[in-house]
Amino acid sequence: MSHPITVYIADDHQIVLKGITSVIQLDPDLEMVGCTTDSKKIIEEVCRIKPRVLVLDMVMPDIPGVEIIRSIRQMRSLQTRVIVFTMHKDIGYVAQALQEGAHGFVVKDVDTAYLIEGIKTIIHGEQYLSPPFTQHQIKRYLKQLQSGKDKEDVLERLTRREREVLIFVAQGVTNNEIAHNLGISVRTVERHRYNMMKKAKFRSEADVTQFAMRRGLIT
Amino acid sequence: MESEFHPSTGRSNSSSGGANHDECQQLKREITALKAELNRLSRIEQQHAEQTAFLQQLISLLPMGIAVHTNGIVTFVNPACIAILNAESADEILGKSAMGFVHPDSREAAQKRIQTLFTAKTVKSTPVAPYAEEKFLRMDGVPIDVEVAAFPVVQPDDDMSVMVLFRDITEQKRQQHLLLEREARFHQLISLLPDATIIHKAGHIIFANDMARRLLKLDAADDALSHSVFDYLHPDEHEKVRRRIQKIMQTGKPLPPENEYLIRSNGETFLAETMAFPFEENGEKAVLIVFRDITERDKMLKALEKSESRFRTLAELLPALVFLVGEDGKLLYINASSQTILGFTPEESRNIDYRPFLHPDFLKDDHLTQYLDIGEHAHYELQVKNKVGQWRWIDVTYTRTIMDDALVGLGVAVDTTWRKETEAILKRQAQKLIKAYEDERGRIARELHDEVGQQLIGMKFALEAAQRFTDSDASQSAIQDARQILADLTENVRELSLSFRPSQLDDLGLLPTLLWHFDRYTSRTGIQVQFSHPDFNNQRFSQAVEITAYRIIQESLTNVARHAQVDRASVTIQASHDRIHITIQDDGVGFNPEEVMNARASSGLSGMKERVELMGGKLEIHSPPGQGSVISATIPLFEN
Repeated sequence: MSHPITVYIADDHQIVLKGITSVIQLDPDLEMVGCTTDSKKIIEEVCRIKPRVLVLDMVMPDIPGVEIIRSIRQMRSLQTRVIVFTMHKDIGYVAQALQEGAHGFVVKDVDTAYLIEGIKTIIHGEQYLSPPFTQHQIKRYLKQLQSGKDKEDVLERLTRREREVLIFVAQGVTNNEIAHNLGISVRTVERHRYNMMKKAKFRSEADVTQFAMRRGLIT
Repeated sequence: MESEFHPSTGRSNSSSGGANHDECQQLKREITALKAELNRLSRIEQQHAEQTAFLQQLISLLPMGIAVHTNGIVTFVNPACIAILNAESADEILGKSAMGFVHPDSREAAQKRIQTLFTAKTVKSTPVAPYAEEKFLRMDGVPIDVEVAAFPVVQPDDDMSVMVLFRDITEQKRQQHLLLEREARFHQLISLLPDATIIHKAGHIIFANDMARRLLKLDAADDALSHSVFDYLHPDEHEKVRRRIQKIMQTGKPLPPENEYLIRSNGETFLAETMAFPFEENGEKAVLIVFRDITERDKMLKALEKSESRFRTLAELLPALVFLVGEDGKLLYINASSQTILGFTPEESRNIDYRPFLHPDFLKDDHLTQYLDIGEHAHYELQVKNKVGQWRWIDVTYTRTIMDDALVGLGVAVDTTWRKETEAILKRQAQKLIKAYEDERGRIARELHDEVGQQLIGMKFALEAAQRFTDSDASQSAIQDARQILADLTENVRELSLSFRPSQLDDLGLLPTLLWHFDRYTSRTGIQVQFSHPDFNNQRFSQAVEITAYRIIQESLTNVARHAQVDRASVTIQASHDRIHITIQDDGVGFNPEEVMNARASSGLSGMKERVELMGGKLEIHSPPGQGSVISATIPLFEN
């Protein structure tokens, strides 16, 4: 067998650290080459020891996990892949970690076998997600982040500026004042206004005000 | 005597008769005398004819109508008469009855006139009937007023002839009538004037209207016309009035109003405002005086003075700042208490332009030029700078009113700096309290999540290890049970921690937290959440904003689950450059906002409302029964 996979473990809880360490040490393909509970030490140690895998708790005091992931990613020379091992089960954390450059995400309360599996998967460059996460979930979540689900929504059809102008018009603010407020020319305001009315099929200012009140955009 | 042949007689004269000669001489003398007499008579006749002709011409030319009637029949008319009687020619009038041309109303008088003429019956009589005014009738029946005089005319045959001279005075009479009417109206006018009017000549009253009589308390019998003006003037005024009368007479110009003390006929004195005008009555110089009793006005002015002095006293005593400002913006009055607030003495305050001492925000809003109705109150809260440059908060109640016939602004201001500072302190404390509350929850959440949670993980590892090193099936099974319980426990602890405060809020932001929350909410309540967030792509805001927004949505959705009886709700977040709008809507049965707000006073929606308002935002609930409900909130992103 070739070299065992070198693993560095970072977790601010001693108990957890011990637990992970013993699990890793049980596996002949893995070798723990270092660990710490202090987030400030991670980068330094990783740069020195150059493990192939970093098992990282996302939420450690002092330096946030995302920052550590980002730093490691930025160091091209470092081949270390990061697998996040955390309590957090929210898809948001997964998306964030993967976006920052982590290769794997494993929750702590599933069987530790998943962690082992994860470590062995990511050294090949693949992404690894432990249950209950799936790539589909991540895609869905990212899409949700982008915009609201409701494509039918009038507001969604408008551009940002048009939405801003909508709120002003609903309040009866004159074009001059809108221009002054937004720092654009009156002609531009008129254009946005026209487009807004057209896209939303408003027939009068009263329509705009009514809509805005219904949607709680003005009170 | 020689005899001579006188051809005239044709007889030869012989000496036959010395007596014939005397008779002839006598005849000659008589004939000569007769001739002379004839000549004289013919001369007289000629003169008479000339005179008659002259008279006739005169009569013809005279503009007066001249007619002669004999025994009642018109025998002569002159051209003027024809014209006045509107006839075409003399023939229309001659031969007719004279009385026919006299108006029935005047006939009796005319008859009488003629009678009196003939009772006198002397040739040399001057017209016994002087000019009288009567009515005649013209040819066309139109009555005319005439001035008429009549003479008896002696005729040879002793007939009763009367020469009538008359003049058409219709126009003259009409003018006279008009003049009388005008005069009557003038007097009537003066009588009706609400101002007392008196006309006097050199002090003697010749006219007093009703009002004057009333003011001077003259009873009906009392004829002021026998009095002098001075009888109605207070002795102290006499000298002054004499001078005034003189001045009017000299200059012929009216005098400006003066206040004088007059005396009524019952001895009462009263204050009057009098105006004197030069006047003419019947061609003589007089003075027209118009006066009115100003005792009431005087009383009111004194009362006003008193009230103003009371106002001043009150204004000075009030511990508040009282000021009066004129139309032009100048400070007319400011009380002494103002010094406590502003540091300037009232004198100093009046002389400075106060605009630089008003806060720019207040001036920016154009309050100073806002229109206010008289009596309408406006209320302002603004900051003013005092003498040492400190900004103080004042509450001003302001109104416009009339003082001394001018429009002024009246304001009362109270220093509310202390109150505002207290309010600010309270607000900060409330905010701190909320922060402490949230922080505490966060702390608990973290403790549970990180400490307890991690310990549970540690236990998991331990059990896993134990499982690995156990051979016995019984142990395996027991450990497996333990692991199951542990897993449940871990999950519960996580849920508990997240319910206190989701860690995502700090780590990931509002949007991911909401997405997580909606998932959880739907799986617990079965209510679908339609989420729309235009212009909001997970920008990060301050912790206070994010936590408040989250709590509002959390609380509102809880409310929906509790009351609305629906299976769908929608949430919208709209972010603009300085605020976010949140709407939570459902189409359910609606609820009574007051009930809900009051039920859970310290938390829940009313608590939300307070929290939002502390941040300078708004929260409103529209929930008509049966029409669903909309909860809308606005949270400013930056603290003012």
